[in-house]
Amino acid sequence: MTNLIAAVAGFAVLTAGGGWALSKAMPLEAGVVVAYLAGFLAFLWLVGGGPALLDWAHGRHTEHSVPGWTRFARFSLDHKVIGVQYLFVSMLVLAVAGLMALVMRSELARPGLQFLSNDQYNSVMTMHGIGMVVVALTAIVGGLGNYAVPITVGARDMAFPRLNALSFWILPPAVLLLLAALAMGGMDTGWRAYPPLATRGGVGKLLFLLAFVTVGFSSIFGGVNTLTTVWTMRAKGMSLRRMPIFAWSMLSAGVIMVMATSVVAASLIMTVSDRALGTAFFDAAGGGTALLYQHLFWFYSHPAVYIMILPAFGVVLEVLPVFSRKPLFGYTLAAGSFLGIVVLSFLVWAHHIFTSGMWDFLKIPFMVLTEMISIPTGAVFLCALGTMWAGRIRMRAPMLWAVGFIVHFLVGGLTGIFLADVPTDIHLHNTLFVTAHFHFTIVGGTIFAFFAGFYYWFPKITGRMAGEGLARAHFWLFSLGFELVFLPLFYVGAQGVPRHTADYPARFAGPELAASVGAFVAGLATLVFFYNVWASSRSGAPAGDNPWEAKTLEWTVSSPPPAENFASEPEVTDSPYGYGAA
Amino acid sequence: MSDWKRAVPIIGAMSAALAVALTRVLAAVHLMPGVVAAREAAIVDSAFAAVLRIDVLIFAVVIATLAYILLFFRAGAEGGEGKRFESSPGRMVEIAWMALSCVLTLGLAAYGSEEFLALRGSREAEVDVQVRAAQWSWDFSYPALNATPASLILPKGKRARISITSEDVLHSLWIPAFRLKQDALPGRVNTLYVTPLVTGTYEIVCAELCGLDHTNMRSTVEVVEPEEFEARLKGETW
Repeated sequence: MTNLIAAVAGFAVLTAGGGWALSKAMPLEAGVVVAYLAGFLAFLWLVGGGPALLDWAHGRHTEHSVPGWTRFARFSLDHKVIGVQYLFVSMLVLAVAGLMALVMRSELARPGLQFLSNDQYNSVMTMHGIGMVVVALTAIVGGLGNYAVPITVGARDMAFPRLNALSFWILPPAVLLLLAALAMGGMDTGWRAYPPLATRGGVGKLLFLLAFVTVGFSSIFGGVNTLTTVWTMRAKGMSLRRMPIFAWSMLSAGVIMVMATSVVAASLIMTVSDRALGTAFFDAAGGGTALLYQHLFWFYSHPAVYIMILPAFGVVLEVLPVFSRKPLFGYTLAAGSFLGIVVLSFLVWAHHIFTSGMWDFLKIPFMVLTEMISIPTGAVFLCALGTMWAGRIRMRAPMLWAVGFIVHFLVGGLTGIFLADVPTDIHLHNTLFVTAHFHFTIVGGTIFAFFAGFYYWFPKITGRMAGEGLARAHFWLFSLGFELVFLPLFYVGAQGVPRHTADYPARFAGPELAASVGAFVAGLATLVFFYNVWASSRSGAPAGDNPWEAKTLEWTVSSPPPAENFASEPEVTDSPYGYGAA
Repeated sequence: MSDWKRAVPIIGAMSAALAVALTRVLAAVHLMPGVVAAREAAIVDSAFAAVLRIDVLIFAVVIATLAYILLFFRAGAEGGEGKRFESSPGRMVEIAWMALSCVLTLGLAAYGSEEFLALRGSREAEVDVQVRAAQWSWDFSYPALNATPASLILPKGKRARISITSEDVLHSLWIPAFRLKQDALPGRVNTLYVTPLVTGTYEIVCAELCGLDHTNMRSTVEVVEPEEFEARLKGETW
């Protein structure tokens, strides 16, 4: 614990104090950037990265992990510890960003301004947005991925354990910086941070941009690690066709993380440079163009939604065979679809900016390519339904969430067609219809799949079963609340209410109030979830090695798995989905 | 294959019932605005209705299939294992599904392209308006008529060219009654063409987050009879 306290203190002193001191000698924002870099490095060094680096430089052995709960506060190299660290931080951010959603929905419960100013509303909305983006990027990929991927492919750890620890410990400074940004005047641009709005205004915006860049680096390192682990560390006999489908999805997401993230990092650094160094990449007065940012931003941020959703597909297709007692239907089709989505995801970004003034005739190819993504995505639905068909379905908590995924992600996907289609998008772009659509894809997709995977691997991680009754209550409350928030917003948006607004015409009071009630129901569901995790990890029924009678490698070892996972190197001789009777 | 003999009529009936029910609900709710005030609005509405029909159909079939699965393929208390698919009929299902989704997608794309070209329409215009957006208001000017009214005024039935730019940050001119939207960018002029068809006063909304008072950055557009147009403009100018 002392290392963590020292690291946070070092970070705060260097970033805040350093920023203040340097601002005497140079422009404020340039000073803050330098101070943040120093604070950031100090945090990583003090939290344990420094000693690990010295060990490595001197050829000494670094302790992989230590027993006791304090290992979760250390610079641990153990992928299972890092997985739990990711889960903890992503759930913490989920709670904070979820509270911000409740603040927004409280303000929006009635027409007119209640207790927030327009400016406060914009800041809360921006922090909710970036917070939930961090959750969607880290909960499955960082949490479940780190924990499960090495074991499911039969490896002792990730390929680069130090890099793995680094990619996790990069996150806390970013989260601290976001909280500081809220205190330093906030950020009124939404998480997309479009200039020129992002290049004007207080230092809070600079902190936001720096935090976003930092999260990007974490994602790149995580992607490199996942790719290398899945590609090179599979157990003997695990050919590509015998790889669990979750590993395929993480491999696909890893490609996007490595290839796309650097582009958004570049666009954010260009924005920082416009602010702190006086360049004019996005400033029309200086010869730049604001539209360039939108292209660069969406060149990353559209693929980024596939970083969120591909691992979700993987989790759901991993859960369905186990609880349907059937082999995965269309294994090759599913893996091929993931790779197809990776390729297409890079070719569709401009559908986010059809109204920006881009050249008219470019809109048609972007529309066609965007709609083509529904082909591999539809194939995933076929694999899901085909797996369940003629199965012997066991309706346990993970299965419930996986079925919830199918229903809600279907709505998300189908409403996306309106936004790919140029004529309807021109009306619906930047309305609450879009807000409802992407919450159906990211919450209905990524978050439902995350809960499916969380309840699925919870016995493996803790050695105890999660309370089934509470998990069901969580599911039904959350589904109901979630639908109550976003179904009305499709209507309100199509009728003429733009997104990112703190108020709306009084004639929408009814559906907006329903949405606010729904938000609190979903919030209650999340409390049930947190209580279940706390209670079940302390006193749940012992799980045994393989409570779900699953066939992937992680279920052949104890719960929780021993240090370095396997006593001897496992050997794979068949597909991981050998369920069912002929 | 006996599974299928029982399943197809049941899933078919459930899909049809669901599709009819959903269509009724959606017709009662009527998602798009009631006012269709421009040539372009009618095109967007017909594109919206077409996509909605396809969406309802896909939703109904998938949900009916899922419901059938959850009703008929549940494990009892005894548990047990499911049936393995034989690979050859499984492969046929995969091929049929992929072929169908390719046809649907390309059909949608072709239809969308056609509607887009119709929406884009002619680049000739009889009325020229310039719009300058600034935090947090809209300025309108008619250079040919030397007029700067407080709101946008357009003659019914005449094609208008609206040239939009911004003085500061991004904004977006959105007229829900026309179903049209065009961003305003500093240092750049974007054009929007529209042919209003119904007289009346409609909302203009800013649809791109532009800072503090984005929520209240509103104005109106008034569509008037062509013979009243110039007189209205003179009356409004100050």
